[in-house]
Amino acid sequence: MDGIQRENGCLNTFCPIASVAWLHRKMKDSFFLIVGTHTCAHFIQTALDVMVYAHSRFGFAVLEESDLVAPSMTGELSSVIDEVVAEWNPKVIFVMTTCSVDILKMDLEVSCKEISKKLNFPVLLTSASGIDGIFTQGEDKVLKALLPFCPTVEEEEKEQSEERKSKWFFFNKEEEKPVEKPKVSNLVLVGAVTDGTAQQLQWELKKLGLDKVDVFPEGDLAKMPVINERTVVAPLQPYLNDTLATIRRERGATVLTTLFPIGPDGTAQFLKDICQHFQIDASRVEEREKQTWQELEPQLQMLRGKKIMFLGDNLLELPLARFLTACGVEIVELGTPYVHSKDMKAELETLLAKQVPIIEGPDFHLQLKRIQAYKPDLIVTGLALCNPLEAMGYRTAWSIEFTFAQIHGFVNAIDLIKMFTKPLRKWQALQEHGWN
Amino acid sequence: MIIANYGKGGVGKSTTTSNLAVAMARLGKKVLQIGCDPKSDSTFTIAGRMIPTVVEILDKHNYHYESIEPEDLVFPGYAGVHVVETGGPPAGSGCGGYVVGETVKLLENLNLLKNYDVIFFDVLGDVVCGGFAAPLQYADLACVVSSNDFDALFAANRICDSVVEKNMSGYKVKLAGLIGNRCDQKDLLQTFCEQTGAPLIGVVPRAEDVRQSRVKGYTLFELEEMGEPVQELTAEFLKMAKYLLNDPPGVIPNVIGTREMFEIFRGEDTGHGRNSA
Repeated sequence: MDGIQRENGCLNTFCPIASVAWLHRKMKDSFFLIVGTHTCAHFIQTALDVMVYAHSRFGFAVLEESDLVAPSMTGELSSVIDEVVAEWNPKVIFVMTTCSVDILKMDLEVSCKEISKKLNFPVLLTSASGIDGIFTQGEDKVLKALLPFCPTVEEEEKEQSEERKSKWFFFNKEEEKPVEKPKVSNLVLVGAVTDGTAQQLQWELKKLGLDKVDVFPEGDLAKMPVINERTVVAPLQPYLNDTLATIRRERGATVLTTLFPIGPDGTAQFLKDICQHFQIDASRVEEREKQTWQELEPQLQMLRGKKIMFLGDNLLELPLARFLTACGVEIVELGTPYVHSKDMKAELETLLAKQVPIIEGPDFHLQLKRIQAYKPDLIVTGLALCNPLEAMGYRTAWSIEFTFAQIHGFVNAIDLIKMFTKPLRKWQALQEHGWN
Repeated sequence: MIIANYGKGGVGKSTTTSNLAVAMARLGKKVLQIGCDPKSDSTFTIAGRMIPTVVEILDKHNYHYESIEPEDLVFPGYAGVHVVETGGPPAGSGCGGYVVGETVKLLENLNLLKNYDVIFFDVLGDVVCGGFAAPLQYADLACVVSSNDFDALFAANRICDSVVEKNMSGYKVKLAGLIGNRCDQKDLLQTFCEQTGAPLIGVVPRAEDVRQSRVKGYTLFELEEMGEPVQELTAEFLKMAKYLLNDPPGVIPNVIGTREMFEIFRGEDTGHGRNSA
């Protein structure tokens, strides 16, 4: 890949089962059953402990040695799921398998289908192995498992063709030419963002004249949008590569490659590209963007000229860094676990044009040396590394926050920029009070 | 149609599969042969060389699946047969089963399993683990290659066991039958087939030409084209190919227990020093 260095370093990031944290709230009446070892269970218990939810809708089926030699998984899995159904009464269960299940080649596919038939609601198998995925990619796996619930044919079309069929039998002389409804393209935004964020983006598009904007996933399995060869898909998150590839391959839909709607610049380009595709006037967008940047001015003053470094762990680094360059920040290093050259093409072009050094799979030991050389004003990294870096005298921002905060669209730009300025303000305040 | 070929190590699966693949191509079919063995030597006689394995190609692209086009993995060979090698870890290390299992999934994701009339999975040895059994999850039919001796049939029995197991798990693969290879006689094969209910699809005699073809890097059909007198052998493969192309229903075999296997064949097989009658 041009312009991207590769260090093949060890990734300091969580595994995909951590995505349960936001997915179990997005999918209504769902339950996430993770099949793994007691260590996996302990990780989730500890990591998600920071969020106190009453009666969280996820749990574990812990593997025992007897499962390794059992001829079929259905019995054991079924009894665990019966317990889940008794207590949570879900309408859909996601069975997420972990590294152990994958490596041991335990085959749960048929068990899930059988249990699904028995319970009369979907029991969907998704692999959330940490061997080849990082935590945000858990969403990619779940969305791919939900794709079959997106119909290929509009309800209206189905009714129309039924109508036409019945008319055929009762007509005697002339065959009435069926009124062909123009085949419209529908726009589908893809990403498990909060309902609020999705609605904001739909509102922006409605103001531009696009009424038929669907979101995948919907919280309800019965309301998933149509995706067919006429559909235009606009991804909201950078880590949904497998789902997008499957949509291209199986549905023949058009997937837009544009900037992600993160930051006013990204949101503006996102909306403009959609407008261009649907041949709609986008002049309103520039006004919205300008207005948003004006509102961000106090924060921009704090950020201009600052040196920020991403160590890389959540796959949001490219759009976040791109937004910061638009804020006048110098990105001294953009570390990221993985760069999908095709889906990230637009972001990459923008970043490489500004000569941002992008390192895929950075080596942390080398990064430590570079931190000491660059002396960045802010380092964006995971919780594990933030505290030691703070102790070394650097300012840090927690990368995990970007997966929970609402960062999309014009409306949330102020919250997004504050996630970078808050640590700087905090440090400034401490300096002013004599804490060195 | 997807066919998975198994059999005891060294019994002649790759040779048999390659010749079957070419036979089917000669009958006008679009064929893909997928070698599922870390040794990656299944498709040698069709490609005329050791082709790069899926693992090697992925490694070159730094495991960036999105950079991989199906054309990178599939190579054209003799008679228009296309070939793929999954590859695997070096001898004595890693987990071959994991690589085979994951690679088969990758090929399915790339839609490679849809473009052919017939796909052969040539899978190493015994079905020792879930990874090597992965092709059985995609196959319509399984064939077992065996020689006319106890040990090969013992392995064949284990493979029949796997077919039964997959059916119990809800998969659709059926046993098309046994193919005898390097056989001067077929009495033990027939006993096994009677006991398990498996059809005996065909028997390829022990022939130096077959052994030589393998080492030289040609299928029998290519040798025939070069003027070698191997018509009887190629005819047998054409016969077997036609049988398989005729959509045989296949069976879920009766599994013979381990102790039973010893009892059935006790006294029948007195080792390799037997004279051909």
